[in-house]
Amino acid sequence: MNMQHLPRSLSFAACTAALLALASARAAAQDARPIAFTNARLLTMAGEPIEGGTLVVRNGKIEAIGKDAVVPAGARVIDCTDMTIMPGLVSAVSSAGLTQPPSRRTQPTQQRGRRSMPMPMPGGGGGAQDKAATRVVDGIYAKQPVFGDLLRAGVTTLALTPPGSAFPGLGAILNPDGKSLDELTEQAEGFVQIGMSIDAQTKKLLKGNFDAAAKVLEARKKPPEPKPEEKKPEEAKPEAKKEEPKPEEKKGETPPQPQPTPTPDPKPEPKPEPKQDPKPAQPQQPAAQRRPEPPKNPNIEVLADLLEGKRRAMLEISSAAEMLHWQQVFETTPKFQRTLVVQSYNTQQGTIDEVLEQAKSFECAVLLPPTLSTTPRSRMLTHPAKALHDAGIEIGFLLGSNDATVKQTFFRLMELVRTGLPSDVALRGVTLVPAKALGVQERTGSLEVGKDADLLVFHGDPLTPSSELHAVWRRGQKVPEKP
Amino acid sequence: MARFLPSPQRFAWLVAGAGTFVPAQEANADAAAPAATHAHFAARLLPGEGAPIDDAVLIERGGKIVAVGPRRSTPVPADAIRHEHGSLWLSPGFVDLHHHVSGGGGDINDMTMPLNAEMRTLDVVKPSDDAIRRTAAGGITTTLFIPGSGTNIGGFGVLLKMRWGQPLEKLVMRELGAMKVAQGFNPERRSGDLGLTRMGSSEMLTQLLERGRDYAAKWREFDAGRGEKPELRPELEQLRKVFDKKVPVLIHTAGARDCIATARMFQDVFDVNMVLSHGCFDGWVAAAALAKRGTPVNLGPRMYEFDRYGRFVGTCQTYWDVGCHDMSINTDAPVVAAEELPLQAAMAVRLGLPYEPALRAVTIQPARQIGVADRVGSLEAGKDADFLVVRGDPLDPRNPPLEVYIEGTLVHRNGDVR
Amino acid sequence: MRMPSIVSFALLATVLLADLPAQRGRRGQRPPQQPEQAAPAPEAKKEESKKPKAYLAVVGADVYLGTGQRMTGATVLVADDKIESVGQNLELPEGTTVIDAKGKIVSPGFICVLGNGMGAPRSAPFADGVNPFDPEIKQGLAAGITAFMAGSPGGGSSPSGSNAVIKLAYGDVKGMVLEENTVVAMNVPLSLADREKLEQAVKQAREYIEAVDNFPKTKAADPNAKEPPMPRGGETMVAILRGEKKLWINLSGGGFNPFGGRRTGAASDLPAIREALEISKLLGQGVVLQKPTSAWLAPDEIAATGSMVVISPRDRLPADPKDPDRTGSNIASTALLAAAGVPVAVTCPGGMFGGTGVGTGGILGQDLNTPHVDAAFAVRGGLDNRKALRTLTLDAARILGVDARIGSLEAGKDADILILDGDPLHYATFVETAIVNGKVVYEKAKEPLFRHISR
Repeated sequence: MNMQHLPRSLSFAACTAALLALASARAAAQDARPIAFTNARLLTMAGEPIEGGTLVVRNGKIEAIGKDAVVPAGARVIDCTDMTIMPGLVSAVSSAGLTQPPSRRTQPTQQRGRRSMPMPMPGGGGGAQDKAATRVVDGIYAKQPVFGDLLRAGVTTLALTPPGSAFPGLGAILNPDGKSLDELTEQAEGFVQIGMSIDAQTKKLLKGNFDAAAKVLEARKKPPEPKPEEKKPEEAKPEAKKEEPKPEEKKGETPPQPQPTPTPDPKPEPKPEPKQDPKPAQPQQPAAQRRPEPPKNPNIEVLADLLEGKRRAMLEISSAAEMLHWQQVFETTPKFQRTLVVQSYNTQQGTIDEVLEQAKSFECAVLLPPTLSTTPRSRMLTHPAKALHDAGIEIGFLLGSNDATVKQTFFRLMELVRTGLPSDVALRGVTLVPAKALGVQERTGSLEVGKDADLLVFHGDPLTPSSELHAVWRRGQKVPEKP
Repeated sequence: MARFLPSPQRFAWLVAGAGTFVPAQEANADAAAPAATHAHFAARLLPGEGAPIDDAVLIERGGKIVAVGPRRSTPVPADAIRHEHGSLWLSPGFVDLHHHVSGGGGDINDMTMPLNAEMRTLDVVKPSDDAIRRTAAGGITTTLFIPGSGTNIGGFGVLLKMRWGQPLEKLVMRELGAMKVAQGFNPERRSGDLGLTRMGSSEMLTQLLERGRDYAAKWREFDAGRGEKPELRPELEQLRKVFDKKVPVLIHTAGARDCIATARMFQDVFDVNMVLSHGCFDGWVAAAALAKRGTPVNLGPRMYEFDRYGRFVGTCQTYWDVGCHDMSINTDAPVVAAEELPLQAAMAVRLGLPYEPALRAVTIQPARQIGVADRVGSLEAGKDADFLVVRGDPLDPRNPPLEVYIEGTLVHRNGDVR
Repeated sequence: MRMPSIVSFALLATVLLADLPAQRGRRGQRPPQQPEQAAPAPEAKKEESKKPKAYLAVVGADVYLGTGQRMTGATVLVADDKIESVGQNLELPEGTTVIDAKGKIVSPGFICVLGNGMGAPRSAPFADGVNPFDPEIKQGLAAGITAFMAGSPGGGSSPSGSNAVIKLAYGDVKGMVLEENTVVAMNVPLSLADREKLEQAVKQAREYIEAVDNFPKTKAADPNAKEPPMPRGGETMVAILRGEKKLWINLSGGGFNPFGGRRTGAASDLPAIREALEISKLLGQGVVLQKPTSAWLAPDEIAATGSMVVISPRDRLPADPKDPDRTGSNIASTALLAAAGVPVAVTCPGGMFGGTGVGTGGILGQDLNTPHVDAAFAVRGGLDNRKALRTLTLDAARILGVDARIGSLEAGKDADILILDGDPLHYATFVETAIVNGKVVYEKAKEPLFRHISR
């Protein structure tokens, strides 16, 4: 994850620089001073709530937290009596700022049948995509008010989800405070988006690409052989010809490696994986000089990375019917880091709680709409979130793609809590669980020492109707109330 | 294999009777009095009103029922022609108050003006139309052939006996059967340019009804020897009969809001005889309010509402349960085929309406609502001898009427109509 | 495997005749001390697979087998998704789940030869598009439907079509598609040119089949012999001739003019029926006539070809007054055809308010919410009540070419079973429990649809 880490540190540096340059000296001085939030009710998401606790922030990180945490000398003290502090919201699925109309938003209703349309649409596969290596972030315009709106509504970490079924691309993790694409992009390749849909084309793509990726992975695992031509003459022959132009084209590229090996240390290495570039000059010519293998398909390579454990996936399976079709495609789902996403409750195809056992078999968290559902064609309410939680599945919630839906989320969570979901589960579902889904739980998602100071300060308990979001802090910086 | 071959006798009638386009012989219809007496013996007789009579006899003379009762205790005139129906049942002929197909097709709405109180379907009845024949074949002996719901007032429907192929006057039971009013939905679609909203159509309707009411009142005064002779207004003459309570109003209404609006207008504001027809969709929500007013309802062709809890809520059963007992059932032919009126009642039973009221809802109850219970709707002495011979439950689609009599005359034998 | 329908019909008739006196007996009068009656069960037992079978028994009901026969107080034993045996006093394996159905009626699930919705996609590929959680599936099951044909039977001047027999296996993707493309259809009348093409296609397909059949011999004589090539575009015809697909022939059908009358032009489709029968003779096997209005005029001709019929007993077409004896529809069609030995399947009326799906619009008795009403109208036309059930069960399965799998309660067939609270064809009868592929998929008491209605 070195390379993913890199832009973040860069952007953080840029962010700080920008702040330094733009903001007043006072603001800069403030940044250096530690900040202590005292007498607060702290919903840490990592344990029991702390009543009358102190939270110390220095250099954008949480330095100390607890009932007895010491306020450092010279700290700016913010008295939080009657206030509740919780981690900033993590929106793990969104289409915020996508320039084209987000087809995935409209597609589910069209493709999977509206209420008035009781049957699934024919398997035409209109939404099926085969572009797992395409980065959604490359299609975004950074200067849009939606990001700031989301931040002010409490979203301190934002994902950008590529639209479509099958393999619509690589989702990004965004810093909603960013003013330019660079600042905005925290991880350009945050996760692999995979979408299920009941149509033949999607199913075919899923099966075919995962099978291909498994083969690629097998090849990767083999010890590098200097002369594989001898082993597979039939295969090698046609490829041998293709091999010829390669060295010339590849001039000046990074030295050949059997495969990109991302290491945890953030060494500045501009482009270790040219194949993941969305518009590479030679997308079909990855660095592999000595090995006469077919030109690498970047879309398959991404999946191979996924299977190898180098990437994580958001796996959108929104209905019970889609779940069963998924299982028809894969008798055993390939192993990879994943989070299940239910975009909306589709009672026409069965809600996810109808297939609890199958959902459980994925052994991962499930992100759900923060709503109750109904039995089909009726207003009899059902509680899929509670059903999944009771079945021992970790659940999180979707926050939508604009500030209005985020603001509604707390009211929706209140309804879920009123109807039986434990409140800590509800709140973890918008913080820690989605943070894990995006793989940023080391940095945010809970109030723990060493994590970023992404904080929401509420008057009162966030899950009471009278509570009010008083302030949003991101990495130790208070977010201005007005843009 | 022999057992698989059709028994010739069994199917002979199906084929042989099929093509005969001659109406069943109306042997007695034109015969001068004194008419012959006929005694029909059957295993069971459903009077339409009261408990079934087992081992019963129905005695008919001159088209009228002379007596009905158990075979043991009912004296049969010695000269009576005896018809032994064995194990079969006798049932009253069915009555359908919402029927559009006796006119040869289509000619049921004049779509220029929204109010057409001066029109009538009497002028478009086509006695030779196959629809009439089929309707009779289904055991429906009386229908109210009404205009459609395209305009607020479609005109006046004619009350007919389903005597296919006979001269018009032999079919017509009452020239002005009922005035057809339509509320909500349908007339809003393109009923002229006035009254395109429910407010507008209500207002226009009210204005006309007020004129009709006042006109009728003036004539009543004059007839009672008070006041001057009113000016004759031909366009209000038919409407006058409504306010003289000689002709009821049948109002196409669906949905709870319109049901209440209809009851208010035709029961609370204007004092006329009325039947609320359809009452579908969520009309059942208003059923309790209608029950309080004793509103006569004529339900169908929709038999259920698929409600917000995913249930098939039987329309008839819901009305019945809250006390709306003045209930009849219709086909709105051609929405449901005219001959399938008993199936409509059967479907009401399927969805929870008790059997007795379902049978009454296609026999005596509609006859009462339209004001002809003294003639049709049940098998009682003094009434028209309109009855069916069936194998069993007349609502079961498996039991076709084997014989259909209208006023004592055989109008259909099973197989006459394919 | 499949025999020509005429042969199979004859066989079936023989079997039926043979079985009738033995199995039916007098209702409820069978003395319990007749072990040989229960014998079929143990005999039918097949070799146990490794996985222990899940047994389910529906016990004590009057069982309509779907073949036209009925057994009183019998047990239907299901092993996994198949029927293990049907009989009186069956010995139940240990651990059998027992459903007490005393006083109830048990029938095979109804099969609708024409349908849509209920979890089926509108077009191929069906297996990849089924929605096993479609709420309409429950509605179909409540109506007694356990299988139907989705998609289009086909049409045009040569056999075509894209369809599938869908089972209402709620919550089971794999269980929902029984078989795809068991039916192809074409229209009559044909132009002379199309007729010629058809004859050509049949001839080529015949030659191909013969060549394939003889291939082992040819190969023995000449080791270099090539396998005979499939004639271009001839797969469908070859499949028809091999009995792998049922050929339907569309006739005009008895349309229903909502306002009556004005439909005197349509005289008779007897010439078209005869043309269809010509095609049947050309193929040397029966075809399926879809909505032949005038079929009642020629039941014996149809029977002689081994053909079958799909009809709506309620589709009405008035006779032409100029030729009343030979035109128009006939409610007795089903009865007359059945009496001649022609298998018939019923379908819904084709009017503007009927339809081959389950609706929620309020009109009842005209669509697939009540398929039994259509069979009831066949009875109205003179068909025997018990035989009428076959129009929704075994005969419907044969018309779809899937009678080896569904359509009757016989050992080895799919366990698609209804438990009813009355006579299957009575208007007020409800499905209490529906079993598809051996699984209980609908219970009236547990679904909102009709739970509130009690008898």
